[in-house]
Amino acid sequence: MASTLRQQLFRVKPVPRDGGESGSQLKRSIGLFPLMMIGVGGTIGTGIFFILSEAVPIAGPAVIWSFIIAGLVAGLSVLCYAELASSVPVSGSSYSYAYSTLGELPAMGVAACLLLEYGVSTAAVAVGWSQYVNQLITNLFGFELPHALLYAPEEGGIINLPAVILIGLCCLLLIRGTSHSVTANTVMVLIKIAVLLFFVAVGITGWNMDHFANFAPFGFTGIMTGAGIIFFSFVGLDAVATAGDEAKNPRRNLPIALIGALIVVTGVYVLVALTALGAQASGEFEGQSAGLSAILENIVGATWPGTVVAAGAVISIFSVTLVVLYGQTRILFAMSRDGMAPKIFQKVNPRTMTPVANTIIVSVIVAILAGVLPINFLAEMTSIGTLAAFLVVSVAVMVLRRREPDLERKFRVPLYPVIPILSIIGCLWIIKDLRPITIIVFAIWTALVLVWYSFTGRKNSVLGKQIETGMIVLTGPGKYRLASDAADHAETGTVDVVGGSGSGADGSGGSGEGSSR
Amino acid sequence: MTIVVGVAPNHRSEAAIQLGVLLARSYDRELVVASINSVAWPPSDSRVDTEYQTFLIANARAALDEAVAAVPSDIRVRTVVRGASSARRGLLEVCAEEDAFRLVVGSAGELGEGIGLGSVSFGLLQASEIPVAIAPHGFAVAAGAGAAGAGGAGGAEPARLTRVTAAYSGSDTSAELVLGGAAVAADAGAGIRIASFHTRPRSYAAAGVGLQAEDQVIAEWEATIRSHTREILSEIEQSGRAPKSVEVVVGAGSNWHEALRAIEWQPTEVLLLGSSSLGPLARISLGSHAAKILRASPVPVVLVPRRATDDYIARG
Repeated sequence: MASTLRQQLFRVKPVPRDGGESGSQLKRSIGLFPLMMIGVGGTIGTGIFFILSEAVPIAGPAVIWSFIIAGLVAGLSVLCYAELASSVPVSGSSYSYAYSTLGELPAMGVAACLLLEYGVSTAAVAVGWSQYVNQLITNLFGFELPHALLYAPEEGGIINLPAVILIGLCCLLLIRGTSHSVTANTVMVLIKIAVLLFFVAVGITGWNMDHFANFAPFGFTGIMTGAGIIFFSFVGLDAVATAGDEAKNPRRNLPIALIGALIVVTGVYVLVALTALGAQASGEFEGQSAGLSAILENIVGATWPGTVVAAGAVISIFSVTLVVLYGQTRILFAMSRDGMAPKIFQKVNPRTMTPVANTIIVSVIVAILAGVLPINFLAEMTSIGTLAAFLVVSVAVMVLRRREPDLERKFRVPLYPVIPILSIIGCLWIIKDLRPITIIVFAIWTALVLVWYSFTGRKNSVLGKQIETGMIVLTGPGKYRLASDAADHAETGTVDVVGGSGSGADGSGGSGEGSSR
Repeated sequence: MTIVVGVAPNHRSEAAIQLGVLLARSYDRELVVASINSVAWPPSDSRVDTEYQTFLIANARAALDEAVAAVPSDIRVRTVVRGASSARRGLLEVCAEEDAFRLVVGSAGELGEGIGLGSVSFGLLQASEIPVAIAPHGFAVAAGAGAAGAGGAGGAEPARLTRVTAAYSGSDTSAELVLGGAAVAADAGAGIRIASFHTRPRSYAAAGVGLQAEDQVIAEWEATIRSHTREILSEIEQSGRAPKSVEVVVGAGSNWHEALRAIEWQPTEVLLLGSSSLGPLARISLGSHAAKILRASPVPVVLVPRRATDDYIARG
């Protein structure tokens, strides 16, 4: 029986044989620059607009090092991510990759992390957005929202209303089914970078070297704890790997785009942090809301530069919220189709063609988190979720190299096994310096998800049912193959799908469904 | 009951006449070709106005004569000239008097593919109590096209409606319209085809869930549509008025124009479309799928206005 349980926990989702085919049929249309912009766009705007107020009080001016360390660890992990993405011919999130390589239980562990990386980070970003919206309204109309409606209960308020409204707006857009082209993404990124560079250009005029006098007041621990909080600003870099399917010449472009995006992002972050520290003594960061706007207004003695930054932040953070919320709904959608999440998450409204119930449930939960939790806790929870997900991905690369040495990998991690090992060490090191409460909540959360899995997900697993019915056959330890390699099981021919959406509509397909576009 | 075709002087109306003929023959109804003149407001008996009215009537008569000349001999046809404060009101009055079964108008806008709603047809959608058929520019049916069971031997059969494609959006009203359409198709000896269309949405590039996340959503949507249409099909079978053929099809494309052309169309086919989502905002709103399907349709569209919906369903 034990072996049966083990088989259950580590059953690996087979990839339809034409999965790779369909991948190659995709129009490889994304060039190096847009690919890099996907990474930059997914990342910038998550944290830099408000994370300094949380990180500087912990690390002091040495927060510069926190940024560099967090960036390095993120870079190492993302390289592992890229190898995993390129060796599994399915398109999806790291949950899908884990399911196709490590098995069901690890995939659920990754899913638990991703719910933090996406759901909680949406809440964190929305809270940051509310600070800038308030700043913008104050500057433009001279009207300030009451404290009770801007802050979480722990910070002396009742509810963070703007954050809740933002989630509601994004929810409506997603229900309507807005989509967002690669070009639109690039435009958004350029707006974000322009705003941040504007901050640097104006902020540099207030440079004061004295602010760097007490460089690392809390020593190395301060720097690492800062890196833990800041790590959250690197969420989104993994998007490059998932878009790799459509990249032109992925073997060359994927690593260049990843590293390029990382350099751009880290460079911009360090520039912003340097400017902010040069312009304002590190003691003044604590509790500052809409930090970047406030700094400029203090230097210039006028509101207009703050207004420009606030307007840019409001636009770019809005787009990030939309994208991350979207990601969360689609991850749950994929899980639901695999039987790992309740069926409600895969219901698609025929009229809007979007998973409406899924979107509403996710939005309500995220809105509650955004409304009542303080931003530092949200940021740390996001960081630990992301770090844990990156950790699993780094382990997965090593497991897969041992288990499937001959698998075709469009991209291979350089300096193997040094990079995955460094990535694992880096992630663990940053996790170790997070606040105990964060680690405890994370452990409880992951345990809850796994308990849920062992009682319901394991039994409802679509893959498990397919193995029982013989649709999928065991070919070796932890390896399965589709009995029929056709991914589509067209039914009695009552429906003739024309125009080739090409995805099996029988619900048996999970995230590996190929499609010809 | 009759088929009323609205023609306007100085506007091309061959397409509308052709569609009117096709429907009149398929449903075995009389054709009434109507031209509406605007009457002066406030009404006046001044000489100038009377002269102008005489000129308008002569113009309308000429247009009607030209239109009737194109009607084949197997169709019974009458003409009507009517004064009314607006073309829309005039057409609705003629429909009421002539006990119309369908009202046929031409497409607005430029010559090209698809169908445009003009101010008259849009107004009709708000107010008409019978289905409104709109012919795309240049619509014409060659004799022999789609003749039922044409064996090829002998002379060309006059064209009849061979199939009604009902656009199914997933809503209950839409399902009921499909059933109504099936009954009407059965009466005309035509087949029914249930069609759903979708454009492939793109995933957000920077979301970290892959660029084909939406393919899964669409697959689920197709599964939902499939289970719905199965129920509709069994209802059609139980209705006792079975159309000649019953099919289900899903058209997919990267835009609506492509999605509609992803499925084959017969030259003697109409697309049945409910207009519940063609509200006043539909013309400017990009959200309405019905409005987009209408614009992209390669065949004549029979729109069932909101006021006509219950009646249309009841007759099914």
